[in-house]
Order: sequence, then structure tokens, then C-alpha cells
Amino acid sequence: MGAVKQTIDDIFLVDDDDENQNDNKYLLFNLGREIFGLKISSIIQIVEMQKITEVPDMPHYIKGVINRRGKVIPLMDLRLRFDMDGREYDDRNCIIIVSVHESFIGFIVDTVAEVHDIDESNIEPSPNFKNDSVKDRYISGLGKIGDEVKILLDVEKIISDKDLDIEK
Amino acid sequence: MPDTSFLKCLSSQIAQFEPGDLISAMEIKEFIETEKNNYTDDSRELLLDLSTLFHCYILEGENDELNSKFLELKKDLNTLETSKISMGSVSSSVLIEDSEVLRSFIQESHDHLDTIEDRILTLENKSDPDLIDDIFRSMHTIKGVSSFLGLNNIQNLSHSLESLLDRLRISELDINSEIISILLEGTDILVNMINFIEGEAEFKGEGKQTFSIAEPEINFDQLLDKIRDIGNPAKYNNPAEKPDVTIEPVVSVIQNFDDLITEDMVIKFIEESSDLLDSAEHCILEMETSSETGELIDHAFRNLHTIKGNSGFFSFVSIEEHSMEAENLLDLIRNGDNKADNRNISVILQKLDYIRNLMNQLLSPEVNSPQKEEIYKPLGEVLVGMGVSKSDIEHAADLQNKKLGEILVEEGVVSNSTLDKALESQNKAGIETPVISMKRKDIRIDMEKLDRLFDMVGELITAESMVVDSEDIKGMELREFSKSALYLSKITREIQSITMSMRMIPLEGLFNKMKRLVRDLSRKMDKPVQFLISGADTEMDRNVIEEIADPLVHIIRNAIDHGLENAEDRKASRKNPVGVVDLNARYEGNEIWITVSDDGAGLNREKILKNAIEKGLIKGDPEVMEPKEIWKLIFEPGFSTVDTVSEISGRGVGMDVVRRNIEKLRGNIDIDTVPGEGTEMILRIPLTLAIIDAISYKVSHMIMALQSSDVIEFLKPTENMFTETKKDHVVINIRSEIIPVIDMNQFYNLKNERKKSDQGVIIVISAGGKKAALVVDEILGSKQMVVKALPELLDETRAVSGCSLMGNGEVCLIMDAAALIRDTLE
Repeated sequence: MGAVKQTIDDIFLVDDDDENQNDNKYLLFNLGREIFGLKISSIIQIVEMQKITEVPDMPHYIKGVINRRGKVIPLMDLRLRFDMDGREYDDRNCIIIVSVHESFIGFIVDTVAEVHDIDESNIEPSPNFKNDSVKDRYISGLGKIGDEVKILLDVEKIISDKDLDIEK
Repeated sequence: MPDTSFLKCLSSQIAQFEPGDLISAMEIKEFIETEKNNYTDDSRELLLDLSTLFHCYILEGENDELNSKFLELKKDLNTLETSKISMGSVSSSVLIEDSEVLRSFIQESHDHLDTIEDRILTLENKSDPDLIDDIFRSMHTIKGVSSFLGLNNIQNLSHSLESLLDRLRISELDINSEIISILLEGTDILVNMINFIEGEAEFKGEGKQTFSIAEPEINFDQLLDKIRDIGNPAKYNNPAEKPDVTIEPVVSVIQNFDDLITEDMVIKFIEESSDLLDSAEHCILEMETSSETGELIDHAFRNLHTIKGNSGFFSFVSIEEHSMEAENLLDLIRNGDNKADNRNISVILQKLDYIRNLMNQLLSPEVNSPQKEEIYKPLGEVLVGMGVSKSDIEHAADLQNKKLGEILVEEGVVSNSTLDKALESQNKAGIETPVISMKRKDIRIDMEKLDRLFDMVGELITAESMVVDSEDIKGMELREFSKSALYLSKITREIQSITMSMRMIPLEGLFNKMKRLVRDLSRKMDKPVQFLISGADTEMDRNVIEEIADPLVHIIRNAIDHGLENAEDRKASRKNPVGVVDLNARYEGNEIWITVSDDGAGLNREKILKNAIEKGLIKGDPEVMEPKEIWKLIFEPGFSTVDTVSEISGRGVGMDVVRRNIEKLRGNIDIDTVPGEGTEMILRIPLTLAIIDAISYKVSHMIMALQSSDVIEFLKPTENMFTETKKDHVVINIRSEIIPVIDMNQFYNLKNERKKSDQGVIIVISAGGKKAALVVDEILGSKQMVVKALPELLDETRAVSGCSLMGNGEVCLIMDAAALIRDTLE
């Protein structure tokens, strides 16, 4: 595991030359038993867990900030964001740094699994349940890989959703 | 259908508009108004509404009512635009073959248009052929490049403007306000068209080398007609109404011929001549080896001829003489009367060296320069300028045996002190001219690159302290290492200061925008204003300039709107009916002071107090308040104008915004006012925002820092110093001064297994005239910190102005002492 981590860590996933090829690629990661996916084009970097500096006045799922190459990056615990139970961090946790609207944010996830192609034809819209849980609101679609279903997330909604303000 | 592209352009501007951004508001409003002839029946009402709305923004600042109205209109505009476009209008398009050329054209045009606007405004006050030339050249460039790119509309308009300028240049026309307005209007349209193209290029040209863009179809026929009609009285239905458009004889230009020679011109002459000399020299050296001398001689001859002509114009006699001699010699060689042999060439080269030396002397402040008399005025002239009558001077000049100054004193015409002053200004004239360097050697750099470099330098400093303060070497005796570390740190500081200076730009651009604001406001409010600007060359960090733009607009708007009385009132109080607003910038210690002063009525103490008491902004006895404290009341958020009628108390408009913005920059505002004589506002902005001396401390798990200048003292408190006045309200008694206590753990609701207030360390801070005692867990130390902005997601954190990286890579939050005190105390 350690070796695999090493290769993922610090690799710049976005390569300017083949941006188009990345369109259908998703980074899959685990939160609890479920597998989620993020479009690879928005991801800047995956780094291992490191010491977090707390920031006051923040909702509980904003864990603080880290310094990454001189950039101060806020961290969001996706478990807490999706109202799942929190968990002590260990060295299997990863931080996925994404870029939204020219600023950066890091998502703390349980483990990073793999990068996978999901063709648009294999993505279905998420059914709208009446009592939407927090998580459902940030889903951009459900991706099918064989028999498995991966939950694809919409980064922008995760960050800019209104309840960010309400909970403050 | 031209109005679709107009609407498109407008809606893209509006989409980018943020309600607080007054400068954009001004620009958009201007845009809507200049495009009057593009209104159609279905859009007219909406456009008028929009224009009124932006007017309100400019006058009242941002408020909820306007914002909701803005959103409403924005929606309407979008609907209108979509309906128009769906009607199937197609605008002609232009194929762009090289996106790089277009981009540099856009960049360059922006530069040109910025300076053009400023120059036109200057022209309004002072007719200066040099300025017209400058504008003409800029226009010419825009015309040339746009025709190359096939942007016909831009080419057309710039061509018309260029020919108008040409007529000004050859004095066929005289400058009047109408021409100025036309020029301004034309410039505005050009700016809009270029903005439009820029938007198109960004949208369609992303990553592509070849693409086609729609050409902006702003209708400027009316303007073209106006330009054509200028100076052509026959075309006017009633020419008597426009008497000032008639052609004036050239005499007026010749009359003030002396004033024509400005420092700038001299410098330009020298620049140009040096280039000419270099190329002449090159030709002459070639002549030695080349057999085909004809063309080379011709070239050198032409260059020298130009230098001769120009120096004759400036009456730099010796340069003229030397260039004439060299020219003659060349002429002889050309005609075959003399050979291009070694000797002759040496003579010519010598002459060229002479000329070069003479020109350098023009630039260098050496007192005994032989050219000196050519650049400063004779003493007599200076004295005349100071009010000594000409005949007295002539009389004195008759007694030429003595020094002119001595004679004048003896004759009792001037006092010694006047003479000293005159001599001083005479000397100054001699020295000031040459100081300016020959050429600005600059290149354009992408701002992103610069910001990145800036970030990297910040990191470099952090990395340096990581190495130097490393835990691994703590307490070790490392002599060589310490030496090298010291050397390293010297270099990094230097790199840092150079990087900082790269981001510094003069305030000129911002100040020029204000010129336009003042002009517009003064017209709208019908108050004649003389706007004085000084210190525009003061340099500030680019980011800071962006931050102070809005406050400056607010302050100047207030100065004109509420500060200056109207012309009748001014006459009644025996003031010049033309009000004066003075905008000045200068360095004071490690701060930059930007001063806006007006000679209006001044702040009214009673009215401010009354208003403040009504709003409940004053605690305690107003009678004992210091004047400064009273003036500061106008910055209180509650101090609004909504229900105040009087002119003076209206000064609260948007002023709390001003204070907030300035405090964000860790700056201060001072107000000085004399009833009946005017008001002066001083914005004091710290010179470097990026680096502060800070004291870091720990609260719970967090590392925080305060700017050293906000900290008064630290102390280890004992329990009996605290008094609990109410639940959770604690004060501390320090040397019989009662100071409110802010427990940082409580302030941020941290679940710390917190010791009570009587443990930890107290930091006494002072900001905004108030003191507070912070209870923190531990003081870490004092060091220089590179300030970074908080990431967007976190900027809601209370009382934090930024963050910084500690030596070990941890992030430290920088507290805003003023905001902290404001948040906790009434």
C-alpha cells in the first residue's frame, strides 16, 4: 500500500496537453463503504494527510488549512460534509486538492482508489428522492462501471452550497 | 443591426459589475450614455433606468435597494438581449489569423486609450501642441494596427479622430470644449469596441491560433458627422451659435512659443538625437571599409541634418554648430570635393562625440556645463515672473558691470529675500531638467507571472527560515553555517525588496480616473471645480491601489457633493466661485499619505453631533469629546444620510465603507477641518502590506499573530487584577487603568480545557483609539511575516486579516486588532 501511495502522491494529474482526454476520467475514492468519483479535470494534486492548522469560526466540516508549496489551502472533511460519522485520521487518509473558480480546496477522504474512465453514456442522473440527504444534493450523476455504481460529485455544489452560510 | 452588439457589450460589462465597484459603475454609465443613438423603442426605457441606477450608485454608494433594482434590470437586459439575438441578426465577422497579434493589439490599445483620455483632459485646460502630437500618434497606431487586422469600425473611427487631431495640430482648428467632448466620446467608443473585441477573443479564441470574431457594430455615425462638421460653420443651421468653432489664425501659437519648450521635449529631443547619432556613427564607420559610400553618406547626412534642425529649434547653439560642421564635411565628401579618408572620418567622428557630450551635459546636473544657459531662464526673466516690473530690470541690465541681482537690491527694487528666492528658482530650473533619466527601459510582464514570483519569494523566505531555524541544528555551535546563513538571508532580503518594487506602480492611473470623475461630477452638480493633482508619481503596490480606488471615489464624491458649496453660496462668503479639490500623494516615513482636501464649508460639529446622538452613536458626554473623535463619527456605520437634509451632515455617505477598506489595508484616516475653509482627509496607508513585524502567540492549537505596532505590552496577570463586571464580561486593572479583557478561547468558542482568565498571558493591544487585553495561551516570539490573503472559503473568519507561514510550514493567522476590538466592544 505504501508504495502505491508514494506513486499517487505528488503527481500532477492535470496535464495541459491532453486536457480533452481527461474529460471522461474520474478519480474514485472511498468514504466509508461507498465509492465516490470526482472529475479529474478539476483535480490539482493528491497529497497525504499532514498537520492541519485549525481556523476558528468555521463549520465543523472545515478542518482548517494546510500549507502546500506556499499556498494556504482550506480542508474540508467530506465525511462530515455529507453528514457521515467522523473518523480519526490515520495515514491511509488522503487529501484531494481541487481547483474551483481559481481557488483551491482540499477534500479529506478515507482512501483514494483509482482513476477510471466513465463514458457519458454510462452516467445516469441521480433520482430525486423527496427527503434528500445532504449528500444527494452534491451528486452530479451516477456512474456505472460494470455492475458497480459510483457516486459522482459536483465540486462546485459541494463548495458553494447555501448551507455553508447557514451553518456558520 | 448594430444595437445587438451594443447590448451584448453592455450586458457583458454588467455581468462583470459588482455593486461596490464605483469605477466600473462610472464606466458603464458613461457607456450607456454615449450610445444614446443605439437606443431602440423597446430598449430605451430599460437603458434609461440602467443609467439612472448607475448614477445612483455613483452618488449614493451601494445599498440594498439599489442592489435589488440592479438585479431586476440585469434580468430584463438579458431577456432583451436574447430576444434580439434570436431575431437572427448577424454581425459581420473578422478572421483573425494570429491571436498573438490581436492580443497585443488589445493590450496596446488599452494603454494608448488610457493615456489618450488623460491627455485630452489636460488639453482642455492647456493647449499644448506636444500633447496633441502624442494623442495623434497614439490614434495613428491604433488606426494602423486595426486596419492591419481588418477591424474596419475601429479603423474608421480612429481615422476620423486622427484627422480631427491633425487639424488641431496644424492649428486649423482651436481647441474648445466641444472638440474635447467629441474626442472623449470617440475615445469612449473605441474603448468599448476594444472591450468588445477582447471579450470576443477570449470567448472564441481560447487556445486557438486562427479564429474569427464578430466586429463590434457600435453606431458612431453621428459622431463622425460631428467631426466632419467641426470647423465648417456652413454646415450648421445656425452658425452664430457656434462662434468658437471658427478657424483662428496661427498667431496664438507663436505668441507663447517660449512656453512650447518643455522638459519633456528636451528629453525627447535628446533621446531621438542619440539614436540618430548612433546610426550616423555606424554609417560613418562603415564608410571606412565599404566602397559603396554614397548611401551611407546620405544616411549620416540626413541624420545630422535632423539634429541640426532640432537643436536650432531649441536654440542649443553649440550642438547646432557642431552638427552643421559635420554636415558640411559630409557634403564635401559626397560631392567628391573631399575624400572619405581616415583623417576626415576621424574629424567627423570627433564632431559626433562633441555633440554627444553636449547632449549629456544637457542631462547631467553639472553646474559649469557650457550648455547651462540654454536650459534655464535668465535671472531677469525669473524676477519678472515674480512681479518685478520689466522696466526696472531693463534699467538694471544697463548697469551690466555688476551682477544683475546685486544691482537690483541696491536700487531697492527687490529685497534680498526676493532675490534669494529668485536665485533659488533659477538654480532649480537648471537642476530639475536634467535629473530625468534618458530612457525608460521597461518590458511588459504578465501580472500572473509577477504574482507567482512574489509567492515564490515569500516561500523562499519561509524555506530559508525553515533551514536556519531547523530543530535539528538548534543549540549547535556552527560558525561556518551561521556565516553562510547570514549571507543567504542578505540575498533573499534583496530579492524580496526587488520583487516588491516590481509590483509598485505609480498612482497616476488611479488619479487620472479621478480627473474624469471630478469632471463629470462637477458638471452634474453644476459646481465648477478646479481639480489639483500632485504626487501622482508616488508608487504603490498594485493590489493596494485597487483597494483604495473605491474609498477615493467616495471621498472625492463627498468633497464635491457635500464639501463644496454651490457657486452662489461661495460668492456670498467671498470665496472664489470655482471650488478647489486637491488630491495629493506622498511618502511619510513608512506610510503613504493620500490627501483629499477641499476649500468648502468644512464639517459642521453641531450637525454631526446631533445626527450621531439621534442615531445613538455617542456614549458619554459629547461636550468633552475631542474634535477628532467627533469627525470620526462620520465613519460610523449608522451615520447615514437617509434622513438628513442638510448639506454638511450628508458627509456620511458610504464613509463606513471607506474606513473598512482602509483598515483592511492596516491604514488610517485622519480628518482635519476648519469651518468655512474646508476639509482635509488623509488616508495613511502602510508602505508594505506584504511584510509585517508580528508577534505570534498560541491559542488552543492555533498559532496567531498581531502586528507589533498594535501591541503595547505583555504581562503575566495575577488573579486579583481581574474583575467580573457581568457574566463573561471581565476587566483587568493594569496600573490603575481599567482595560476590557478578551479571552481568545472564548472569542472563537474554542473547546479548550481552558484555564480561567487568570492563567495564560495577557497581551495589551491598542487600535482605533481603544485598548483591550487579550488572554492567550502562550507567546511564541516576534518575527517578520509575509502576509498572504486567506483563502476565499475562509474569509468569513472574524477579526482575521490574513495568514502567514511559520518556519515549520504551519499556517499562522494574522489578527486584525481593530476589527477584534470592534467585534467585542461597543
